[in-house]
Amino acid sequence: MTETMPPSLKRGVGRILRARGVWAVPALGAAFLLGGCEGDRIQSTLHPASEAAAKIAWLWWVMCGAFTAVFLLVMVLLLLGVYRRPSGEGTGPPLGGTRFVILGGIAMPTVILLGLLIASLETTVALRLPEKQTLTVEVIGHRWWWEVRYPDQNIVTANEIQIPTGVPVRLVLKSADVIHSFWVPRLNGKMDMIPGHTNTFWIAAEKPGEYRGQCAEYCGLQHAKMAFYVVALPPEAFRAWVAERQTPRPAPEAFLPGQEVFMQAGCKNCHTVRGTAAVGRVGPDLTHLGSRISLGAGEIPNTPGHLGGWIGNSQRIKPGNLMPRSFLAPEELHALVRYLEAPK
Amino acid sequence: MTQQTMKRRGESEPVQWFALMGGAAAWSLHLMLIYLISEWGCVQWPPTFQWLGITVTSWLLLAASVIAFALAAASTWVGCWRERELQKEEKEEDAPGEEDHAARFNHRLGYLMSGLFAFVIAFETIPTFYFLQGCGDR
Amino acid sequence: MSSTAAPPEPADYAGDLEEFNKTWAGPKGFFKWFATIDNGPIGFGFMFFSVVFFLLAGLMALLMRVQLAVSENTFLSPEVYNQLFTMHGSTMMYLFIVPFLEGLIMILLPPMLGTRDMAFPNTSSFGMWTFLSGGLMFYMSFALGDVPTIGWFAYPPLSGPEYTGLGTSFWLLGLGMAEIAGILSGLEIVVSCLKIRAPGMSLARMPLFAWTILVTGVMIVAAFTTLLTATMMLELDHEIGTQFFDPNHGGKPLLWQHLFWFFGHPEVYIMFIPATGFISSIVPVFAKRPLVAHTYVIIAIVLMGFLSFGLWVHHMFATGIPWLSMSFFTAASLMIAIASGIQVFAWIATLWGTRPAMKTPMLWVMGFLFIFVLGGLTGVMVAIVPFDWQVHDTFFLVAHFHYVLIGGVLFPCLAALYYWMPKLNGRMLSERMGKWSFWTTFIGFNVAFFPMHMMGLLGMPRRVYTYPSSLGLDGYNMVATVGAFLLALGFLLTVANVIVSARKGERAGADPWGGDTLEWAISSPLPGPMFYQIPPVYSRHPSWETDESKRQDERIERASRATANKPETWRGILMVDVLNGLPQSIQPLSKGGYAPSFAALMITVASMGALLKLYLVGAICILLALVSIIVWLWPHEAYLKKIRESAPALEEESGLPVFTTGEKSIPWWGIVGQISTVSLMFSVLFYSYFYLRLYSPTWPQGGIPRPDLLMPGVAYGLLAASALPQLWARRAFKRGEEWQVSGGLIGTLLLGAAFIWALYAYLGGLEFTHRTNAYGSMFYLIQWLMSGLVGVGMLLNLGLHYRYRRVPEDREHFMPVQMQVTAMFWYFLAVLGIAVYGVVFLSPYV
Repeated sequence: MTETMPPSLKRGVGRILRARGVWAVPALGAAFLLGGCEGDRIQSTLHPASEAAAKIAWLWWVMCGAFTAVFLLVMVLLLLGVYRRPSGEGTGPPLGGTRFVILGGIAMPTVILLGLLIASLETTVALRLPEKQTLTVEVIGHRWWWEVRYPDQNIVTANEIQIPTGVPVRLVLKSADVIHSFWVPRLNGKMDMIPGHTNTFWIAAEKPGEYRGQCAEYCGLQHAKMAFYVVALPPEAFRAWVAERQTPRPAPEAFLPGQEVFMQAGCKNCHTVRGTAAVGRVGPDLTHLGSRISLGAGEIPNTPGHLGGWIGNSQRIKPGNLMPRSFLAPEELHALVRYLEAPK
Repeated sequence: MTQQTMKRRGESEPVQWFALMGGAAAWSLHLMLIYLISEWGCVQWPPTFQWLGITVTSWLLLAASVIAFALAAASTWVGCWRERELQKEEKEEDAPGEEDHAARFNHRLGYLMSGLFAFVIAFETIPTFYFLQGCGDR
Repeated sequence: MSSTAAPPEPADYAGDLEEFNKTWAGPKGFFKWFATIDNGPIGFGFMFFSVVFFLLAGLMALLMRVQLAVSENTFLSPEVYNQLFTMHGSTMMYLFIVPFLEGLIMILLPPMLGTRDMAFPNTSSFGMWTFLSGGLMFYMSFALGDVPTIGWFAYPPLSGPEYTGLGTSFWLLGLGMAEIAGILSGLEIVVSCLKIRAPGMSLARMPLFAWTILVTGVMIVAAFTTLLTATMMLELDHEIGTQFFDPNHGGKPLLWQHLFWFFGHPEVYIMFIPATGFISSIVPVFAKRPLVAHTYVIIAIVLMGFLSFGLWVHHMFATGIPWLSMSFFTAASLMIAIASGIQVFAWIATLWGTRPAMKTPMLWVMGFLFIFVLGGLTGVMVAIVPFDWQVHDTFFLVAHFHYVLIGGVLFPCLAALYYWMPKLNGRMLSERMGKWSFWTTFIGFNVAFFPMHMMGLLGMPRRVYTYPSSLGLDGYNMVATVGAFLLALGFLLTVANVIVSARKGERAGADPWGGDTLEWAISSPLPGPMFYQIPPVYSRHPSWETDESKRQDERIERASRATANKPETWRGILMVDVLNGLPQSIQPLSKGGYAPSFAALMITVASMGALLKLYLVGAICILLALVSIIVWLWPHEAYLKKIRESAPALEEESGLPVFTTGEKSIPWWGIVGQISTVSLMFSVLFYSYFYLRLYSPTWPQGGIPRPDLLMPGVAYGLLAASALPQLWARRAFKRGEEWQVSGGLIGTLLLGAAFIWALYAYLGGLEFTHRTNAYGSMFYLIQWLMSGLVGVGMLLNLGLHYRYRRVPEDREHFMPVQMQVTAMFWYFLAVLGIAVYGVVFLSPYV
């Protein structure tokens, strides 16, 4: 490009580059980009925790760099064009005008866009679901929570997806009502969950950990509070988790009063607790509620106190969610919380 | 400019329209075909529905691209050829700017535009080559 | 050019000025607003009401920013927040930018093209009133206490009858009204740009602004017709229980997304392309140099217009569409960068070394370039499938499209406002206030929206009423909120500037900027008839041209001279050849009256009545609307008489015909526009039909047997056969065989009625209804529309027959074109009927 620049343009570019403080702009920009502490980046696309997310993040950084350069080039040309004092010979449009437009408006973009198209296609193809899959998980979007089923293992849970590290997990995405979108930014892009339509997708995590995800397609009142966690476990720990979930254990006698409340207060109409008469499918399966990270689809931490508050009046925590208020006596509530949090 | 010269310069209208809009029409046809073929083919036919190791969907897509490109190229060529012809005639008299000669302007605009559309059609053919054996993740 | 600058010196060939002014003077008094069909007041109406909607939507944006300023905020309830983002988005998209542009276009296009009004002045009036009624219906949901929470995109099933109520029905109908207004303006714009230019204005000499408007007009028609069809389907799902988008009854929510984005993506360019037209008009004037690479810029605009229809799937990358299909849309989306690139470099090259005066219009242009280039580049990013999987539906997108829409569209609109204000009210806007406004807006905008890129990348989805502090986004959000208030202040400064300057602004002469196009050759503010004499045009920059005597062409000069204060007793304009701009005919524009505004009002009341289950009110109003539309379309006999009287002299002077048929007449273009719109609507329906079939395990759905071939075959056969008596009538009309004309028209009417009877006899015997499943809905909708169109065609025939018998003196004048358009529409119906038969009845057997 520099060879074709008219001398006046070269002088102008040089002057701008020599100007003091110009380098502060990218420096400030970088600071802005990476601002905040790493611990906060629980849902960041720029802090990938899987190969797929890393590929996409790489694509971002490449585009960010290339386009910053394009942007600066255009702005420099614009400012030079407008503010440069014409020096006798150079009053006409640069390169005769039309040549300048063809070069800058057609030739330059073509080169960049061709590279970009190839990078895009290569990345897309590379994000194909790997051949060897060990596990299929079915995720069903509900207003405003996530039903998680392991069809081969016969496990049902909610708002939390346990996966083994290091292997790709195939996801079958569905919806029970309106359109939702499955998105765990640190693990992969997003994929919509559409009623009457099944999408397949996949995630993999390199390291054990909890990865936050959130519904990304507007789905009504509480779209903002429809989150979940992917919990990546080392393979042995995952096997243990599966085994534990597959062996039903009746609730110890100490918790039976709570079970009684559960059955009588109407909870069973909407919720399932395996091994009991409660088989409702409107709300999340509560069999192993005690072991979950959060309540209300990622809204509050799962502690007995929060659980009591949630049962008492979840509308204060997540207004408009489909769980009605309950009017339980304090000791009934206490028993219920103890029952739900108990290992089963 | 007398009435006679105006008339002599008056170009055949269908040819002008083809030069002007041929590329755009070809691109529209191309878009419609590649969208419909890919959406239909990817849903209706299994990836094993192949000929010479390439899916039938991709063959159809390539055919659509070739046809559309040929149409756009033809429009480019017609515009270019007519513009040259008119330019030759122009030299015989003192020529005002291009904007004063409606037909010549239309042809020039037409062939540049159709050429660009031909280029776009070619660019939009690139993805087909990445999916010759199937439509993606399925 | 001085001869065109307001009342010309009395030349011997000029008509009577007083008479001429009387013809062009609009109606008087308060009710003039309802009766006027002049482009000036109607354009003003569009702009004024759209700005009111803009201020409302801006206020909503500020409320949302307050809610998001800190995490876990409780300033707004989730319900209210969702209502606000729905109304903010839909107001800005449907009720602000497009109507604002339409208003500005309506005012500026005729003077730029060198003509006196838009091609269909009645339609302008109807469009303005339907837009306003649509807007009021949108906001009626506040009065009903049921504001929709479905987003501007209204994805079913969330927007369907299961999850929403009356407010959404009103919203959809309001949207439908705004779309009808849009489609009509689009048709009007296209015909105006193509046909009613100044004599000599070939495509080569047409101003770039007109090129952008022409492309925009075509796009509006194509995009809005698609959306109109889709909203009609969704509205029917709400009101009469069709199942187009209900997944439980064979409907497909994704079908809506395809149709919506086939509108929605071009919509962005419908706003952006006129904005580039503003820039391409302002830049050369400030650079005092013609636009560099003019031809390439035209190509870029046309390319952009076409390509914008090939991008819709890039809004659906996360819906599970085959990757192969998606990749095509990535490629197309990338190509649009070339169209933008050409224009940006052309503007830079034009400004190069000219040291333009940094007056307010130029400042907005510079601001536009900065913001738009940034927004365009992020646009390229989101076209990349894998990257879009991450940032789709996040704040990165919010940042991107506000960069494009505010920087790319609103800034040029403001540049245009500062630049053309003298033409609107004869006064300049204050430079001082303008500069304050610019810098506040520019800084506020970037402070508000730049951090949103980061929010999106760091994981903040769109359309959330709050976010947890654990995402670490509080800082960015607070900065954005502060910026939003600064931005609002900047806009308010311009609003104040407009209000103050309207009274105290410096008076502007005809040409304060040294402009190159025709509007600068006439006085400020623009006079009612625009040009007393329609100017001859020999240059792309007529107002810069000093010596054009050597190019003079007799045909052009003669046509121009014949229009000096003439025609005196009717509103006449010149029509030119599309390609070379040579004059072809003199055409009368309609006279105007209350019919269009009354029709718009009645349609509004009728649809509200239907929604509120006041069926009697609805029926009466729909009848009144029909009557007023007939009144509007009915040739005004007294006016026609005046035209007939003065036509011979005018034809003699100008060498051009007044009573014409085919592409030299305005009604012909009107019917071509209608036919295109209806064809497009049926294409959308056919696409939907096959889309549903593609994704249904069986077809017809739900065990419905394949349709009978015989009975519908008879019905559509009758329709096809009815083209013959029509053809017969047309032949006889040309030969002047009175009774055969009557016979042909009556034959057509009878066969049309027989078609409707046979069709409904068949439909009445079917086992399924439109409620059964999506197949049934599709099946019935197509039949209903078809019979409705035949009804319209029959009304046209009836009107023609009546006039043929009662007004024999017009048979040689206006009636030939009336006969022509009636016949064209009827032939079209016959062909459309065959297509419908093929798709609905034959295709299930394939």
